[in-house]
Amino acid sequence: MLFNSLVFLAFLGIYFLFWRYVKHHERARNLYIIVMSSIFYGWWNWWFLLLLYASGLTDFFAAWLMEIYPRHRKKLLILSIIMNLGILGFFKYSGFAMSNLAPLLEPFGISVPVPSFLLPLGISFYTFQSMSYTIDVYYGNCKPTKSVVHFFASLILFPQLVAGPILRAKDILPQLLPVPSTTETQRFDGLRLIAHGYFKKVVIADNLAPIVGTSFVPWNMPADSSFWWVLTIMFAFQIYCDFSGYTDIARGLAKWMGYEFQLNFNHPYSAASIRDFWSRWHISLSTWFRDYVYVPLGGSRKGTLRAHGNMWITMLLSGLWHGADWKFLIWGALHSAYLSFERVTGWPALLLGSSEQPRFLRLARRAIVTSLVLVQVLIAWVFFRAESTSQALWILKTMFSFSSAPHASLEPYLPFLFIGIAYEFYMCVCPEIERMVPQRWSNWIQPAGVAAILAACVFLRGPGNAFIYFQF
Amino acid sequence: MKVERSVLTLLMFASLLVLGNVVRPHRATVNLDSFWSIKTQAPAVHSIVVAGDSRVMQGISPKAMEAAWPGQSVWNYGYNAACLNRFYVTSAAAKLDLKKKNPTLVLGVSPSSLTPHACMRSWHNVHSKITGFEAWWRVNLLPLSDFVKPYPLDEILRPWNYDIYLPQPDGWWAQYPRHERPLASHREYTENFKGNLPSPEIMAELFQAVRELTGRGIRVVTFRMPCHVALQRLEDEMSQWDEACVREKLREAGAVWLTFDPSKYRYYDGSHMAVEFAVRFSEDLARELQKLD
Repeated sequence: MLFNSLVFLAFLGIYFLFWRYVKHHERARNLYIIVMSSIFYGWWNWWFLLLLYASGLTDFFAAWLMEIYPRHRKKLLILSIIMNLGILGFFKYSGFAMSNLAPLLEPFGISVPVPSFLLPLGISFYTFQSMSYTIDVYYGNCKPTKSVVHFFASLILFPQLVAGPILRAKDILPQLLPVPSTTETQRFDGLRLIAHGYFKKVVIADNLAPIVGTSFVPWNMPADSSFWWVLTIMFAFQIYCDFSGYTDIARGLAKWMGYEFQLNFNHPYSAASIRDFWSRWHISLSTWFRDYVYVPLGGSRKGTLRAHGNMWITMLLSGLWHGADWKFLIWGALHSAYLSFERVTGWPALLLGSSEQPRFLRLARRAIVTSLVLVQVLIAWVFFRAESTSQALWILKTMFSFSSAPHASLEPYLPFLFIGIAYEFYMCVCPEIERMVPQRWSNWIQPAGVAAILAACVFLRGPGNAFIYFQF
Repeated sequence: MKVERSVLTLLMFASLLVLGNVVRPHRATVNLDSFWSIKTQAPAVHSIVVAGDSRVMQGISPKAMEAAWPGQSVWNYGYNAACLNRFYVTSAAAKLDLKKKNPTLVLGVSPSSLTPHACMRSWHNVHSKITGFEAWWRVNLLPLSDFVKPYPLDEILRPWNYDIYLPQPDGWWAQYPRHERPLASHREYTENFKGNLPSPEIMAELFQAVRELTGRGIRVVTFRMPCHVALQRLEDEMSQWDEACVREKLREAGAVWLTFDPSKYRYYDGSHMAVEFAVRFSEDLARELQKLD
């Protein structure tokens, strides 16, 4: 079920109609979450629900048995990881692995079939979430729950199920125990998040999607550098608004239910370094990789060289998490290279200078650094979006050739890019502006702003599209 | 009493929805999907039904005909690529109220509307299959979705780039083209008749249907829907059109044939009339029909 569909709006109406009655009883509440979330997920494909249940049951029992048989904790953890990564690998990576293995084995007369499976929706999200539960229980960061209903309600909670944020069991399990209640502020903040999420998705991302989609068709690529620069910026805003829009809606819905999901995006394109970018982009995934890959590998505790190596491994895996393709690996490798260069040279700090300089100079330097970071991110996005690595290289070559050629008009889409940039800029300064407004006015101005955003979602919405991150 | 901000937001949102529809730049008077079903599902209450291909659909305004000949109820049953086979002609006649004085079926005949390709591609084929709940949904509920229809922002921002069309609730497709290119259709018509000449079988079906309808007391009026003189010449040549023969056979079947001077009107693409000339032609047609009474 897509958040931006009529059927979801109907689903939501039914969900909250009964939620008020079931939320007072823990078991009924959690069962209700499981049933309704299963309908939400099964609307796409009922069979893949079994996979979700299998993955969840493995981790629930692994964690439960860890408490009963502490001596076998390590074996249980390994079993859980093998099971989770096995399912993920089978559906997501087997085709990629085999297609790369086949040409290597061909000279020896061995023919390898290349499987092609339908990728279960949100498999990377729920697998990582489920896996983090057993890892946290293993390290003693989380107490295992004895109730399978409690565990499944946390895993399958529909707002975050297919595209995150990737919740940690230690954060969400305790929230599901008491009777959830909401305050007026929570309800309004929830509505505001939902409105902003829809605005980002249906007004900005969906209106930019047609030109981005058609431009990356291999036989339709103009050799014009300015076209590709503008188009890459459009894609940067499309993917950001698409994904952060989804998580905003998810967080807003959670607030309505009385739960809190972590912040997943924090104005990533205003980052002052690539490191800063990763602390603002898909925060739940980058912290997952930090806590469950980078730190266990040794992090930066085992010398500079090892720290670089650990960071490269983490970023390459992060690239691979997004998809089984060399282009995602290159995307991850590029970010690793940026981060290594940043660590070695410390260039962002050097360019930013001391904090004691005049405000104007500080802002100018900050703008330069942010622009340089943005250029790096844009270059990496080309690999992320291109249909293949060869296409990405061709586009990058064109971008830096400063050539011109006839191309499709970007004019109809530029207003939406400007809306995206202006919106993002406003959201950065929004808290400061809101602080300046007197309380008695803000009680009217805030609802008017959210209502205007909702009306814009209706009248300025683009052609409906699925969320980009669903494919991951 | 303090009103909850979420409630206030939703109230303001509802007001903005209404306001947004008041100031909405209306590009179409009828929801496009509803338009076809409204046309197909029209009740049998009309005294005059005009039928034919897109030239008829765009070139005849029932409202203009009713204004020129008061007291009539006119319906435009024209479809893109309509084929004048028995099924289509009898479907059009079914929209007539036979209790009215001289119920009249007006058929715009063109070489193209008698070809096998037209019979395969006629939009009437598709839309006549939409019946039952789906048709009801399209006619009655779908128009409500116009309330939340997005603004055509690209058209608003670049109005010089877009043709405007306003499908009307009487079956007329009112076209406001931005540019007039009288030779635009020539290539299409050159290609259209290659291996696709007017079929004797379809013509025989048309004559038979006309014979049956006139036998039931329906007056059938036929005419060649005007188009650009150069295009008409090309069309005649490519389709090996023998209009005199068709006219004679239709008369034999009981139809009346009307003749219009194509040079009196203008055609934005050589084939179709824009609003101004469609209205003028509709008035002329109504006056000619009135003379028959």
